[in-house]
Amino acid sequence: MSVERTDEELCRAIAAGDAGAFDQLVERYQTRTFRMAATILANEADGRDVSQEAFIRLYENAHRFDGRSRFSTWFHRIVVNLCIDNQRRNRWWRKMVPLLGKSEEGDEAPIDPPSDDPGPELEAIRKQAAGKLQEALSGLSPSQRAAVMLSVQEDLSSREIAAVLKCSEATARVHLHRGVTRLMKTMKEA
Amino acid sequence: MMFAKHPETLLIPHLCGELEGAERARVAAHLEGCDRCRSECDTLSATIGTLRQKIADLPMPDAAGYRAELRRKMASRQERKRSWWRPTLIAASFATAGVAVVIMIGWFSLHRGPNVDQLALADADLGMLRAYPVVEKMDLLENYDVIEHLDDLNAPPTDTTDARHS
Repeated sequence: MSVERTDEELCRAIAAGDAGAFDQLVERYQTRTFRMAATILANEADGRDVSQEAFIRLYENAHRFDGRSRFSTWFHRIVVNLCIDNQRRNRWWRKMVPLLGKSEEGDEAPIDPPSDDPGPELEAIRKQAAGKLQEALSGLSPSQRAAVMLSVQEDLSSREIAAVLKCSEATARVHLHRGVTRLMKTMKEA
Repeated sequence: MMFAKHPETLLIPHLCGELEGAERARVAAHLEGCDRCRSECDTLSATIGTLRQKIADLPMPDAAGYRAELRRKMASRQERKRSWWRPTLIAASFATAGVAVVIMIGWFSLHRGPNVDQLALADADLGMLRAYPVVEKMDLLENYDVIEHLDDLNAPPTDTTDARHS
């Protein structure tokens, strides 16, 4: 019976040149990473690119993971840093073409629909709910979005969120609290 | 010690079981006596539950397509890394060729022989020297100073001789 390797073990295996370990980690993290990046950037196409870039960085820098933090904390730091870089790069462009930014945050159809087919009605309801959540999330600041996703999707503690966002634990708690409270209000209004 | 104001930012960490020791006890004690925070705690807990559910419904990429695209990107990145030396090598070749040309031009300009005009002049000088019979007599040349100053030599006393003859 083979024991499933932990993320940390897989990362060390990647550093040792195990291509299979990389595939396993991609499989484990691809959906979460894509959602995280797409949510922080409020754009699915950018989220797809950035999350793939994060995996490439993981492959190239696996040897730098020193095991002092959890793999997920280390990896999400890569994702968030790439999101910040992407936003900085695109800022001037969004200022030039404000309409493009607006449509990106709106109810654009997803690029790749979910692969499992739960039936057209349920799918429509899901899409509507997801669209509303995306709209609500786009009303938050990028730091608040990141804090909410890291807490709710990744189950990271305030300390780990602070490590990913490179801020104090108190600031991470403020981002999280404000983000969840704002979402709560938006969802109540909807 | 009680909180001076409502510990709003500690409510989610409290719900997630992150708080420890004294901090946890303080928040728990506050919640017991504060209806507002207790109510907010309940709402936050419900919201986080709903969010968790909704986030799971967010669009996700087609797994196979996503991985295939990732592999393509990685292959192209590695190809770029492997062939990084090609443009560098071409640039280095051109630079080396340029430096070689400059060195050659410099070397030839420093070490080139006399030009045609200088050679013709030298021939003419040599011809004049050959045609000059005095030059052939090197011993005369050595005594050139003496010849030049012949006039300075003391003339023989002519008066005494004439007197003797007369």
